[in-house]
Amino acid sequence: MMDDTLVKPSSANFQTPQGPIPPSRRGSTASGTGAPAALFTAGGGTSFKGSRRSSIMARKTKGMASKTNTAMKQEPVQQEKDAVRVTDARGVDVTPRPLVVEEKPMVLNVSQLAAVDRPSTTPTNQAPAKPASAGTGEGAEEEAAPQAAEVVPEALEVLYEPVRQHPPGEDELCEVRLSESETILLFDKPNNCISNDHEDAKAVEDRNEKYKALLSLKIQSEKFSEAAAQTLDNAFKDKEVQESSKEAHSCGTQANDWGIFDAHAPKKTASAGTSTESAAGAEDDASAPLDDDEKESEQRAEHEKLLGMDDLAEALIMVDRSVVQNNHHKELLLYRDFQLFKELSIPEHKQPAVTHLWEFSCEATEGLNVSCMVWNKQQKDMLVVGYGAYAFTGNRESNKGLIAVWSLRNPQYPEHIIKCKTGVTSMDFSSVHFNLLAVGMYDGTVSIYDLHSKRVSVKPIIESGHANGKHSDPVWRTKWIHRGSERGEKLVSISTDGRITQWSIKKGLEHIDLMKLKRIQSSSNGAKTAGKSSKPKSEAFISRRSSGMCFDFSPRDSSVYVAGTEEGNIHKCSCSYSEQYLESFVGHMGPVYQVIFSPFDPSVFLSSSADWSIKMWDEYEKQELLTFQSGTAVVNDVQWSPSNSTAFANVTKDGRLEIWDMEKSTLKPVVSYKDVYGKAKAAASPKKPDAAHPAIGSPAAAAQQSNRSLNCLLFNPNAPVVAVGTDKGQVIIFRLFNVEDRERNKEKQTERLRNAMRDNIMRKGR
Amino acid sequence: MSEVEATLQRINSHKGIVGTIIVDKDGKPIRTTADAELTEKYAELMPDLAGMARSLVRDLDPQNDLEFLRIRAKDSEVMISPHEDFTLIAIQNLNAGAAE
Repeated sequence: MMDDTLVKPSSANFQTPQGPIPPSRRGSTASGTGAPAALFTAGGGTSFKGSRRSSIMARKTKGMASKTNTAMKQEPVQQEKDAVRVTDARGVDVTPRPLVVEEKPMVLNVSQLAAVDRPSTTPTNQAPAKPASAGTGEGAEEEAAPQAAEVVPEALEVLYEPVRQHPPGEDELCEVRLSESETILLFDKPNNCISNDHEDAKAVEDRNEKYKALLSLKIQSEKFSEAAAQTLDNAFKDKEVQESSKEAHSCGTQANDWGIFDAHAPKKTASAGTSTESAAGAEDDASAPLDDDEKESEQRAEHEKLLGMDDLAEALIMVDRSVVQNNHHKELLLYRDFQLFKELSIPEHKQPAVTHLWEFSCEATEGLNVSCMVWNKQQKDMLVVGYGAYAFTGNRESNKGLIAVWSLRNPQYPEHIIKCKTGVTSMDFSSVHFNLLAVGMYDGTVSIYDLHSKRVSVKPIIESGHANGKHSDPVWRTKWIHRGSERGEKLVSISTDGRITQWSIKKGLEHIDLMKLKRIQSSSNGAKTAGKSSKPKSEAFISRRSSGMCFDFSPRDSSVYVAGTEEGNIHKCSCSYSEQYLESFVGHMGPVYQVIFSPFDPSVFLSSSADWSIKMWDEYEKQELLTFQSGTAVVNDVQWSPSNSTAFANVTKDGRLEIWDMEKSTLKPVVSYKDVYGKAKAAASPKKPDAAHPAIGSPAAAAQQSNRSLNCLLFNPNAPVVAVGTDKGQVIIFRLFNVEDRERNKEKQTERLRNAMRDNIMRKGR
Repeated sequence: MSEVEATLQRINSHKGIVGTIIVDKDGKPIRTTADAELTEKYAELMPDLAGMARSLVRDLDPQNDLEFLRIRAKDSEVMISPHEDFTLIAIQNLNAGAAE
């Protein structure tokens, strides 16, 4: 293309003829081609292209001789055309580029360029033109070109000369010449008609005649027909379709960490949906009715389902616990022995004291007789309480028994309640399998319950039946005894039918009678029967059985145990001898309700009896060491303190809790707490025993207030707390102050005990 | 069902309890023992707070989940147990004088 591309310097840039144009001016029209020269017929043979050469083009061929396309041109005349250039004040060429592309571009190759003669150019505009030249190749080429001679057109008119050497501001006349521009032929249709004068007229006429003749010949022929057709204008039809507008919705969500987690763990939500399935199902079913009433009832049905959910029950229990804990906050802190004395208004004196914390009691246990309690060996604050009547009342209803599992989490409602067919009289937790609870019942059955955490079995896992050697009388004590590593842990029970039985649960419930208690002649009365030695020997004379009430195994030797009987005798027995006693301790005048070895001195044990007294024995001595009596009521239970070797506590039938400390006094208990109980919530009796010698607290003021008999007592191994069971269904928790001894060293405690004993016994002149 | 009723009764019989409200997942109170105005307020506000607390707990560890929320004010405490289908709210007054 020979248009305004720099690359093709094939345009012929003609030097302006020097003649009519002042040398300073330069204008050159570049005619790209000579080929269309035939079309352009202008006077003088000047053929100017409609378009102006680009300035670049022009510049490129600056100074250089304009080429003539001699090869292309048909006309012999070589016309040089000037490339028109526009230069501004600084001399920069700003010639506008042509808007119209040439019709027949012609490309000249380099050789042609070289062959073209170029007129020597006036070097006036060389300088500004130079930088505009693009392409070193072209430049080099064009350098070569100017050397060629240029044919100067004879009659060259410059059409347009906007080029000025001087800035237009100056006063100068400028010459402007106008002339006719080239003709652009757009359409040419040669005439079909010729005049008669034309030389060919005749020939044409002849032809015409011939054609007419032809037509007349063919007039009949079917092959030739004149036909005309008119095309139809199809009518336009408007068709409309209406579409609902597309609604745009904007959806957004916020992704949490857990939302993403949930999306990847669908099983979790699926399993949680089981309980809500039913609710969802109800929803689906009820989605059909649209009636308002039905909607309401459907909602109600949903709500009902909701209320029946397990989750709700659990949530309610938690809320219950929280509420109750709030209410019992101070007491719980005291239980846990939080050292916030000022806040909790703890007595600051150093005297032993007892504070009533709360009572484990609920509607279900109201009125029942607490017969036994036991702490779990693992969860040392879990208290299992057994309820059962001590005496046969003949009334079926009151013979029912209950086991309630109480926990600190909710002092007002037990964690579990297990109903038993008869009254519970004794219980013990296994120390090996912490969830096994052995229960002795009023009807002589020994059952084992499994108190596993979530679902407590309502039925015992094992029960002794008649075939299994069931006791025929109430089982007053059951204990798990660890009989050494080879024998493992065995369950031992004692009952008023006179049998001490060992049970094993390896295969079902098997029993071995350890001992059948036999009556011995009591020698404490002075041996009425002559001939019998006053020392009760192990020889048994009596055929009738004695009724056992309690027993305890020696911590020193797990095959030796002492058993207390209803007659008041305590017998020391061994597992190896099932017929004979090792020793008999005679001293009590009423049924012995409790025997218990000291945790610090393995040979010392205490016994409590219905003869209002507590006796301290040494297993190697036939006579009791000490007797403690502080009232005229049956002593139901006595327990050693787990932290203070010289202290022990007892409960009596007339509602007294007494704490003794042998070091301080063997005549009076250091604390004696009288339980006050009435129909309305009665305030407890003075919590602090007064002065240095705490006497028995003031008895219940009003005679109308009924007394509670305190049936059983337990020290908590962890906290300075005792639990006391009453015969009205409550278990009272007391906080002890200044009773425990911080001494952790067992030997030292034992030492203290021995010393205390020695002092006291010596004092009695023994 | 009766277990739920029994427990509800027990809770309401404790010292200091102002009321218990069970709200379903849409925010409507199903059961309430507090007065209507209070119920409305709590039913409106509490589930949102529980939702936020739950979001917080799960953001910290997605495997964890909120079990219980207690808000202790100067003289009262609100206990909220949030669940998928319902929210259980209990309000308790802590003043010693709130008792007998």
